Amino acid sequence: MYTLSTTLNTSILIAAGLITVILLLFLVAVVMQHRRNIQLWKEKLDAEVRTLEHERVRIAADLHDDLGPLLATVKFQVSNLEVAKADEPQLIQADDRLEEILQRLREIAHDLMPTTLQRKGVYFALEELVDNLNGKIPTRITVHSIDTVAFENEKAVHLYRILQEIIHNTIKHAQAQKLDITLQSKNNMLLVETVDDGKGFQQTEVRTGRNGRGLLNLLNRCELMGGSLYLDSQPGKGTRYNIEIPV
Amino acid sequence: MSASILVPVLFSLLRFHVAGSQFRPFIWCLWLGLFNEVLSYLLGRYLKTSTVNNNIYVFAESLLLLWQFYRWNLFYRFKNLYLGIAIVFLSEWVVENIFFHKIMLVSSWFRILYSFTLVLLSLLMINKLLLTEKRALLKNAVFLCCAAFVLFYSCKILIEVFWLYGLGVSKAFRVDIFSITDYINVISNLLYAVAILCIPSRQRLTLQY
Repeated sequence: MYTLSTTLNTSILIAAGLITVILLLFLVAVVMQHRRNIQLWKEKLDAEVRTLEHERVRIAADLHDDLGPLLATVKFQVSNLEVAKADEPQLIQADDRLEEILQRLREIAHDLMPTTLQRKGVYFALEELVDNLNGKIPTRITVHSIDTVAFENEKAVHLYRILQEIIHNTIKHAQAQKLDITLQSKNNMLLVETVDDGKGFQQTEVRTGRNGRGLLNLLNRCELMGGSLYLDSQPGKGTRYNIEIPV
Repeated sequence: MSASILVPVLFSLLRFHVAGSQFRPFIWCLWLGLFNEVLSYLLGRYLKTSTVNNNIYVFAESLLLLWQFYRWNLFYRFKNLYLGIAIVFLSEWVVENIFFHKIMLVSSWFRILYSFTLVLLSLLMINKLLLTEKRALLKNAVFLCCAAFVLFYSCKILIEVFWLYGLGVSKAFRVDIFSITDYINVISNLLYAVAILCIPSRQRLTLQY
């Protein structure tokens, strides 16, 4: 015969057991839903980035292959015009303007999709980007590559965009004298480190995502490659990015 | 069974420098828990009671874990809520233990209050991780901690209610009921130990939405 105590004890044990089972099921459901969310998010992000890169390639090609030759033809025709001596300065000015426009068009097409990136890979494209910038900006950028490995096309584009974004952020915000970029392969990982001696920033502001899409783009591209991004910055002490990407 | 707290405490000692400021209140809470277990054992053996130190311990535990949720940025938009909850904890503990002279008795109402609060905060944190975490949840130290909190403190609420409303049965029965928490305690301590092992050595950059 069961006493009240035994009955109550059993009831409480059953209640506690049921609560535990319900909570465990809840946690399992959370984990499964989260995995599904991540998969969908990665697929969506991948589609967005692919579309973005395809558009960039298309626009770069249109600029370089369509608009470029047209403008070059106009420049050629303008430079071969016979005009009165009084109008020559204006003609020379127009010729110079067209040359500027052509140059700017090449730069925009190059920024959108560097041909070096497609033909020679990310390391050469990066060196080309840095060579083009050094001398035109107050920041001195240096690149060191140690035992680096080749990347497949998609990852190469992501890596290039990440470094391009970091370089542009440094130029735009950091007011740095120098920016050092190091790329090294180690234990099947590509380790990228960028260090500048700029003004730095408060990390807590950045971590709450109030500072524009640039950092979000960096993170998204890192995530797409299965990599990790580490940021170390303090006001007045420069900024360091460490990126680890599985090869 | 209470000795199972040694496992997470040992791991926390080994990984203290790696843990960073994000997990310090939780680690201090574990160390305080071990200290309280030892103290309870000694006081129980020689003074036949460990109620007073346990009442003080649960108060400290509630504040440390509340602070831990603050460190995890759960209150980043509602800092006043964090202060409000801390004040509610303090007020309830003082009223129950000082004004009603219950420090020599188990302060069940306070335990129910802070357990309920911690379960809610844990669920909010899990919800937040669902949206912000882009890596496996089972390897996320915060998720493991919150899962352990939900399990442990949910059962604790149930047990405390039965401790409070003994339904007229004997004290021996009520002590038996209380022993259920020992089993849940072991599971929680193991989860804490795994969580400490999962604390990343470097803080990856993530953006909160």
